Amino acid sequence: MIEFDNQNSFIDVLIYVFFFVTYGYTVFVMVSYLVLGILSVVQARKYLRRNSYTDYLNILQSPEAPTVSILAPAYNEEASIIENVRSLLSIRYPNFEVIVVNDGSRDRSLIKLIEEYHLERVDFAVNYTLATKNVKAVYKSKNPAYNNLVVVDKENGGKSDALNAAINVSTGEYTLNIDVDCILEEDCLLKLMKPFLEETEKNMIATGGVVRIANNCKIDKGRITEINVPNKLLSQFQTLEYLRSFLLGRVAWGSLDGLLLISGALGVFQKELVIACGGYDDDTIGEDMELTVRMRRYAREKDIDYVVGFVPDPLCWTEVPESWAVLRRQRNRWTRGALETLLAHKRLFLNPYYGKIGMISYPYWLLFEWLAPLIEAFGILLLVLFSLLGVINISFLYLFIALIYGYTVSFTIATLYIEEITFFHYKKRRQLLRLVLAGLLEPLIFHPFLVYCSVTGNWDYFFEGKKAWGSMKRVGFKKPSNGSKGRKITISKPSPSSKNQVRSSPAGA
Amino acid sequence: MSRFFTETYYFLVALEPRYKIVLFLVISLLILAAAMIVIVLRERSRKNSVENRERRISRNVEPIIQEIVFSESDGGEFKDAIKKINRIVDSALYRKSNMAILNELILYYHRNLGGEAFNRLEMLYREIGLKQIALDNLRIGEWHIKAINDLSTMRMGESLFDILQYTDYENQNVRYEAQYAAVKLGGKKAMGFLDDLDTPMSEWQQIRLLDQSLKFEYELIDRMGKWLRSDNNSVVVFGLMIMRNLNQYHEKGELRKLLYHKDEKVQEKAIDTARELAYAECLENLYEVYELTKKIRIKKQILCAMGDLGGSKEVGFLRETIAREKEYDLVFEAAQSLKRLGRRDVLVSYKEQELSEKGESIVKHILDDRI
Repeated sequence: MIEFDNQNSFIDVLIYVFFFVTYGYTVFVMVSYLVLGILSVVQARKYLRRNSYTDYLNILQSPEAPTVSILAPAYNEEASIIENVRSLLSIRYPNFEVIVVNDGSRDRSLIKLIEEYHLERVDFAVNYTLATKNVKAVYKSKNPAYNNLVVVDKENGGKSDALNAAINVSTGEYTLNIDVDCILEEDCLLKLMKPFLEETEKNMIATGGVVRIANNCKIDKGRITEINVPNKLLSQFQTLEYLRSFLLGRVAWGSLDGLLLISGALGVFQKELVIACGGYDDDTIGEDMELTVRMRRYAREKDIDYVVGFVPDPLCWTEVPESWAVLRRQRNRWTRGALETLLAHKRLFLNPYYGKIGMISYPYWLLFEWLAPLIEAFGILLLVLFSLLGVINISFLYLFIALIYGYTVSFTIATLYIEEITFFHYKKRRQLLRLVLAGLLEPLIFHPFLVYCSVTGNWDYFFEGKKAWGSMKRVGFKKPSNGSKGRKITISKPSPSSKNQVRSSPAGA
Repeated sequence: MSRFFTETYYFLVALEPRYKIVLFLVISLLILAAAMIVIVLRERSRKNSVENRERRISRNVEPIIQEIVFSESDGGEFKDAIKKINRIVDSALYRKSNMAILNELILYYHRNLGGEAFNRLEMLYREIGLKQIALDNLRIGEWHIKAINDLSTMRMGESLFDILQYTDYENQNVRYEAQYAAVKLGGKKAMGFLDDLDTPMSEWQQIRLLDQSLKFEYELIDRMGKWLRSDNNSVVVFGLMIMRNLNQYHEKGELRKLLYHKDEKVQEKAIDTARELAYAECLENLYEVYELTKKIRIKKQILCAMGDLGGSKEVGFLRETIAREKEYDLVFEAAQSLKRLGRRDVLVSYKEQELSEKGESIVKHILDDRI
């Protein structure tokens, strides 16, 4: 690969080390993905086999089912909030309440809720166990049909603050934290609560579930009625990315009890522990990952024998950005969020006291989630430089790039195969072929873009000090007729007066 | 063409070993990817063919099943129907798979029907040999859960003894399924396995068993004492669940002891059970536990129980709690209990007094009937 001079100069050694590290790192990443993939397949099959005879009716009828509070923070969601709340109220579970937090919206979100659900202001005593911005009012419905709906109107404070306010007014033992724009499967709560109820040896502190992409799916009355592959190539890339990330990555990490992230779009938490460790952190934009890591850390430091679960079933559907600009902002934000959490909890790094998360999960995130794109970008720059200087063997390099490409494509196709033998959502042959085609293009188009977003995210964090969210303006549900594409989301630039706000997709997918 | 291959061959032979390795990997990956696409497509064809077969069998068998189930056919007609079904599912290649499809079809009808139709389906299940297949699967050991599930769904009471052997099985999933099936098929008499169960039962399993137990008629479960005295905390909790949901008053003495149990979950459940069973005699014990415990959850439960079980003495205690407690949850619970005891007047008088801002908002909250 390197053509040395007769005498090994310092530069030669440096180049040699560079290639050794680069190739070694790449091979290590590839092997780790393979191991995670195999673990996921085993876990997903085991899950499906074990749950094929599960009768959720038992718990649905049970007076002993634990209480769950669904927490839905909302900011300027007037276009879709009525439908979304209706969808939440129709979830199948015997004992739950829905808490919608209007986080200082400047649109008609609250008025629409009041009108639609016949809300009236009540004398609710808010216990500020977790410090939040002022709660202006709490509303309950006059209609007994919506008895389990609570609407909290508060000053704007961001998503974490809204979630903390919701926790303060909640009465459930567990909280299901969601993004209000997500579409949940009807039985999602039953499936997410099962791991809590099944665990006998350890203390289950949180569970997450698989999030899938709703673009181009048919949506009727807040429910997915037909699953389709997105029409746009960019969304298809993200479909593959989500499949790989959730179906292979998180399922495997879940089985290893090494999850560092329960997506903000869908996660059930043990409320007592969330409160004990201080709730959501207002100062971070990656609040979901930060809370998961902090809860794990807290449990370990308090000698709680805990476990974090993961349900391989697709339980939540979300729309992903369909424009490169919006996607760039989103990924930039995710990078900064993950980075913040990693830096805030750097004590975990290779710390045997924290067990698997200290010795495996944290170093993995650091090396392969955060550093990977940076190393990749740095490597490409150096390769260009070396090739200009004529110090590398180009043919071997091409071959190595071909190997990485082949591996990525094979891995994507393996993911599709696993989806096929497990959940089998994309039933039309044509849809499958579209995904295969997207898989062939993805390493050439989408992956470099993600590397770029990650590099700019790091730049923004370290050199620009950016921390704000992008705010979103929702258009709302479209009618499902004529092959409706559901809702459309456009993300505008962050407003200077608002600390918001609510993300449209899960972090770190 | 042959020249091309020869040149390629010599080119490959002349390559350095590291090139050979990488090239080999690239080609292998490409072949693997192509193979996986073919497998995915073949898997789809296989699924389609199974679905088609399922549809065909359903189409042909359903009218026969409906005839058996809904008409008053005699024994001869019943045998004819079985022969017809056997002809439909008979196949040199797919007999096993066809029987599985038939099995699912009968299970589906069984779940959705009742009365005489229910009995006829059970008879059909036996006569057609599906019960025997399930028993064979159970004994072979490969399909334990499926077999137990089928036998209990079809209410094959005669297989209870086969199933009971698995209620303490090493595999948790098999064990749970067998426990559930035993309760379903044998009722309270088959719950003896709980007497000396030493493996923990998950909350999910407890809920499942309770769901079945709620179908029992209200009668005495004399094993209750054993469960409440068990060393297995999950059995104790389940016993308490049964006690309160099936109004089993006869083990109140044991319940009183459990109020002092060292396990928080058991203690919590015991307080809750005492409350639900309106066991006012244990109020003195609840005062004692309140003083002894430092756990807020337990204290909350006790205050809540006082709201249902208490009298004038408890009103005084709750008033005092509101006045002196600093813990928000306890003040809230005490105020709520006062309201349940019908003492709104006490709360109103608090409202008029000078309370802390927090106390005032709690009282307002409790007095607001809309919440």
